[in-house]
Amino acid sequence: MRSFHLPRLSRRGKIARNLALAAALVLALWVGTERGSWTVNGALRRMEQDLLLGPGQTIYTQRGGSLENETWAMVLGDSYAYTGVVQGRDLGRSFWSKTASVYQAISLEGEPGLLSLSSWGLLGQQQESWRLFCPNGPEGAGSAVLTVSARCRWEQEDGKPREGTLRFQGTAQAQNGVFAFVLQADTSEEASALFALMGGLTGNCEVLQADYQMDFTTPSGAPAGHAEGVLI
Amino acid sequence: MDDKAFQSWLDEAVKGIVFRPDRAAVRQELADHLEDKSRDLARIFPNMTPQEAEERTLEQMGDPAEIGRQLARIHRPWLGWLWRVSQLLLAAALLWAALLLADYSGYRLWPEQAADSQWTAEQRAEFSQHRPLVCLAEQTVGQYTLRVRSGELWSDPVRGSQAVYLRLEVRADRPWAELNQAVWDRLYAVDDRGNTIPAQKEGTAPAVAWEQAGTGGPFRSRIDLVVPLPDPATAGVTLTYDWLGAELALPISWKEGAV
Repeated sequence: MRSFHLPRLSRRGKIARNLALAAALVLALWVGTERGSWTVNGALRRMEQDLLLGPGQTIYTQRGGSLENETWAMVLGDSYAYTGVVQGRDLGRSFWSKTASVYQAISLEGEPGLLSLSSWGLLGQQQESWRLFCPNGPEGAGSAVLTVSARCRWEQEDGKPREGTLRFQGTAQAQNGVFAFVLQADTSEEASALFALMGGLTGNCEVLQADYQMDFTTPSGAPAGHAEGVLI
Repeated sequence: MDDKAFQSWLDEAVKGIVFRPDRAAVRQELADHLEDKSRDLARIFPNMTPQEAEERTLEQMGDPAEIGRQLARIHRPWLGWLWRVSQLLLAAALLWAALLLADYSGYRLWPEQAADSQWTAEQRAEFSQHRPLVCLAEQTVGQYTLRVRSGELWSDPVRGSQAVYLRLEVRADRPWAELNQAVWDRLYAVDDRGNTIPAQKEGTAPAVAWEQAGTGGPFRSRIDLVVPLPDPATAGVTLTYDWLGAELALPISWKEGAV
């Protein structure tokens, strides 16, 4: 029986073989890891395609979160705006391949709305601040003031609950039609309230009711509209 | 071999090879060849001194400059570097694969095939009558094309309920691309009289129930849909998805009969 020998490849043949094998391996790995995108923007655009939406524009991103490789983003489209999170897949010590999901979304056609950048997971790294966006302020509005009122109940050391109302306020100038607010906590009480407002459940504060109002003004300072709503 | 004549001959012969690994390999090969030749001459001519054998060897090997020019033409530097790069790329890909497969339990090369029709069979079992339908519907939105070719009309005269089952095929331009689950969760149906079909249970999502039904290859996925029909006279529905301004409205009409 003749023994089978593979043909001896020339230098060029070996180069072609190595490159083809590497490309096939990378393609198989990429497919097998569910075709993650290589970049944050790539993951967001792909998610928009898969939601049958037109491509959006990434307005803001921030890294960090409860998991190490998260990026939170705010995106503005023609008819929509959303905040979402892009997570790097944990691929053998993390290599590229990111996937995106929507956190909050609103249509731009309605009343001015409010989007939270993220859930509580980002709070610690922001040092007790909460970033919110209004993507669809009234036409002509140049700045806005956001006021959030939260009625809270804290558990005290003696076990007795204590209730109170906190107010947070942030101002923003319109940039690309988007108002970006940052609500800051100056005390530990406020920090625990912000944590609860962002959905955190393990703190010592329970938010019983929370609502917001936004007051818009034109560049000349004249009133330009008002919006309000309920957070909790 | 440390003879100076051999060394300088070798230096001259390989100096035109720019790619260092190739230069070293060719030099070693030539050195082995010189040594073999010299040994052969010493064996064939036992009276020849080692020095004479070496001189004769160099004479027979030829002009090192000419040999160097020919070797330089064969061993191009860019080819050498490209070979090194291809080795590194392959090594990197293999390393990545090893790390990935050791660490990532969710790896799958081929899309999974869903358990065929179990969900559909459970839905179907709630109705006592099943009549095959011929349906026609096709729409392209973005990079996806949705098609319906067949279905069944399910009815239960005792409960007075009726639903239409549709097998939807989704084709994508990209391999293994799939519509986001949110599309199916937010899909709703409008009957041929323009009435939105309500959810059958209070507090539930839109009326259209769905389940992934496997794939038909890298560019195709299948979804089974069950749409309740409160009005028994309905002969068509429009599947609609308009979340955040998306525009999918797939009108589907049907008539009874086998495909």
